[in-house]
Amino acid sequence: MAPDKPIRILLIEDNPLNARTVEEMLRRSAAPAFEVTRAYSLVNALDLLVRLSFDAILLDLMLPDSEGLETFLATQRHAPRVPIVVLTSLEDEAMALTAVAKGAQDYLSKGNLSTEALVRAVTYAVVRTRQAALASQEGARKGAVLAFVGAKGGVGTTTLACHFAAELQRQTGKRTLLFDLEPHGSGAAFLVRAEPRFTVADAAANLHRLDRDLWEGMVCQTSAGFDLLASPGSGRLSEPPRADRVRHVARFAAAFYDWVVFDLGRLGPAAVDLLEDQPELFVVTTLQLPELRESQGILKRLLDLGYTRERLRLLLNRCATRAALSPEDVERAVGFPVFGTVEDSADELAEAYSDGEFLRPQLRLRKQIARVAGRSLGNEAEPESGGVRKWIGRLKGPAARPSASSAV
Amino acid sequence: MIPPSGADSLPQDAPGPAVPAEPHWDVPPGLALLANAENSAILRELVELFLADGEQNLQLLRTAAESGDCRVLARCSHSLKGSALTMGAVPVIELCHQIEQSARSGAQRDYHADVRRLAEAFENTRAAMLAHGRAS
Repeated sequence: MAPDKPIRILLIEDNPLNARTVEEMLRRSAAPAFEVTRAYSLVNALDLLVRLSFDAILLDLMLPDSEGLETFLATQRHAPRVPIVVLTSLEDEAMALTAVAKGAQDYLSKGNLSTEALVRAVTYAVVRTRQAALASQEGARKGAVLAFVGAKGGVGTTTLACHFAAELQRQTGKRTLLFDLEPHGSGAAFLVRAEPRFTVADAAANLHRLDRDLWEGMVCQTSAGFDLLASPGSGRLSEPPRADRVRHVARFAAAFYDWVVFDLGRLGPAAVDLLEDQPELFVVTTLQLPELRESQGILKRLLDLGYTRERLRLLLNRCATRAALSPEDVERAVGFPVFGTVEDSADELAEAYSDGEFLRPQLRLRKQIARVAGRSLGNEAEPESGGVRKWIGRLKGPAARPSASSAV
Repeated sequence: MIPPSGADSLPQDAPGPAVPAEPHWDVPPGLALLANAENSAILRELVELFLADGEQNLQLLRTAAESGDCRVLARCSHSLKGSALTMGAVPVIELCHQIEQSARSGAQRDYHADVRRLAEAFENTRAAMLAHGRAS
């Protein structure tokens, strides 16, 4: 521990008096010095754990949005490398001992707090954890996140997202999750004929007790091998899941997968909230003028929000082989490079769906998605013959503006 | 584990607040060390926080006792108990603990009387804290 650097504490405590007491006790300590950030609830704490780095957590188990041991377990799962010292009330002592058995560094009774005990507990916790980290050297496993958003409803975003997830799984052989947040329409579960028992809403509601076992029971496996967390869909009578909770579910899931693909549906406030980490984002449009106009608006809005241009991919879906508009026309009109094009495959998809093989790898659409996915992965494939080749050829022509993938 | 308290001896239907002639409150050792000669302002601040938090929770507890809302009874008594633990307000701790345990188990009982006793204990503590402030 560097002597001149303060120890950064996340104090998770909703009671203002107790929080003030702990803050003041830590403030009085000169060596080591402490820097305290306070969270008022579990979700507030998880937000802070994503944005800021902490050396230790002081945790009250009874919070407005989580109670008891679950509070500890949820915090630990979201910050597995940060030592936790539990603050207990009268009846929490047995629970605090269980928390210690499950990995908490120590516990302190609120009825017997002192600067000395607090500073000692936190300092020891930090030192012990740093030593353990040095000994294990285990790096964090975190999946890469990609997202799909449609210029309008009905442009085929979910279809492309499903096949994209299937391609990532196939091309890399690594665990892939499709995280369906599309609030309207039929949803990925319908297309791939999965019968999910749980949805994103259930995962968000159970954020405080989400662990590996619960997660495995919430997702369903598709015929293409990727896991699907289903959308709550449009038929729900209750409120949609809170965006901040969904964001934490997504971050939690990223620890178990190499690829996480979001189907965001349209670009609403909840979707924007999930794009905070700027995943590679595919904006799906067709060549219809209203859709093109919407896609232009979405791209502009994302750039205005500070989205990095190189992380945005414009994807043209349902391109007819003899379309009135070429990708170059689209690039000029929208003012953004076209990352990839996919032909209109409605008939083929309808047939595959009725055969119960919507994710069949032999589909023409799938081969085109394979190219887009390969390009996203940095593996440029040989262009196919026929219409697609023409499109890709034209994409590479001198009139095309430098594409977002040119640096790959 | 629960410290002994004289609050149990309060008659349940005592008319009006029964504030002892000489209310007593000991500053817990941890807070006493924190609020040393150079930093006495922190104790005043914590007392003010305790009283404000207590008033608010008592109001919510009265309403919850009226409607029999065990969830609110449990939450608010737990919250006030947490403050009382830090401040060493022993009778308040015990009464809050009783209300919280009953409410968590969903027991239907006369929470009005419980909250009335808690309010009395809180008033006693307030008087003792204010007396302590005047004396120091």
